[in-house]
Amino acid sequence: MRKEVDPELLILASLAGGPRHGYGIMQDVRRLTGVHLGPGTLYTAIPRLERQGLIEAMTATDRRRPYRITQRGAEVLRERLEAMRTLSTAGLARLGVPA
Amino acid sequence: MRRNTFTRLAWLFPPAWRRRYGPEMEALLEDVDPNVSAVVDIFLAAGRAWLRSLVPPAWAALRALLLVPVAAVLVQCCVLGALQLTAAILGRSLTFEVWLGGVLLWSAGPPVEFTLGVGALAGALLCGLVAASLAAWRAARVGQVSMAGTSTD
Repeated sequence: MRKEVDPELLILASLAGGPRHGYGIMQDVRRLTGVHLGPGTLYTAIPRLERQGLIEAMTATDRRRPYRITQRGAEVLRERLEAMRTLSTAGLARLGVPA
Repeated sequence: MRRNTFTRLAWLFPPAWRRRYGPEMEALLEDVDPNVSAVVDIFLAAGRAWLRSLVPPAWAALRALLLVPVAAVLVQCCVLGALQLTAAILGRSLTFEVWLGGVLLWSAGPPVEFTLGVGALAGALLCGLVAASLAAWRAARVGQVSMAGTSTD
């Protein structure tokens, strides 16, 4: 089965570890989850997260602009991860796998 | 693909997008491996960005439907543009570029603007049909899975 993970969630999870620029986010996501975020996917998700106020741009160093997660972004990330944990725990219990 | 050409894929995005994200996207593309999947990913993202800039937010469903055809038109325009440039450099006729690309089914006769337009339209329609078929197949499959997964307790 194809591994499908919401790129916005991956970016938020990456930025929860501290501010990063585009390439840093791609590398961190790959290290964290094994998922390869394409450059186009990344820069489709970043403007959307920015518009929603979940991340914000910092001052650019060179041409590389770091982003950081906002307070609201951290709350949204926590809510979504807790929902995933609930589903994961229930699903694994039904499969007889201890959580 | 050469690094310079790969970096310039950032130019495929709409002007407003480029003003805000262009320099950092170019910087990112300097670091990323220029492989086929990255190029396809950028074309799709550029298609999405153009749709976002052209289609009002309220028409999100239409935007999703048009994504693949718009990306297909972008790809075809770039391929044909590159072929036209190659033909111009080599001093060959238009038949050469059409033959070389293999994008269109016929090779001689119509002027390039016509073949470009018809080719892009045909490609867009074909991709739209494929995308719609895939979406319908996927929806049917999801329906089957959820039916099969319905518990009896």
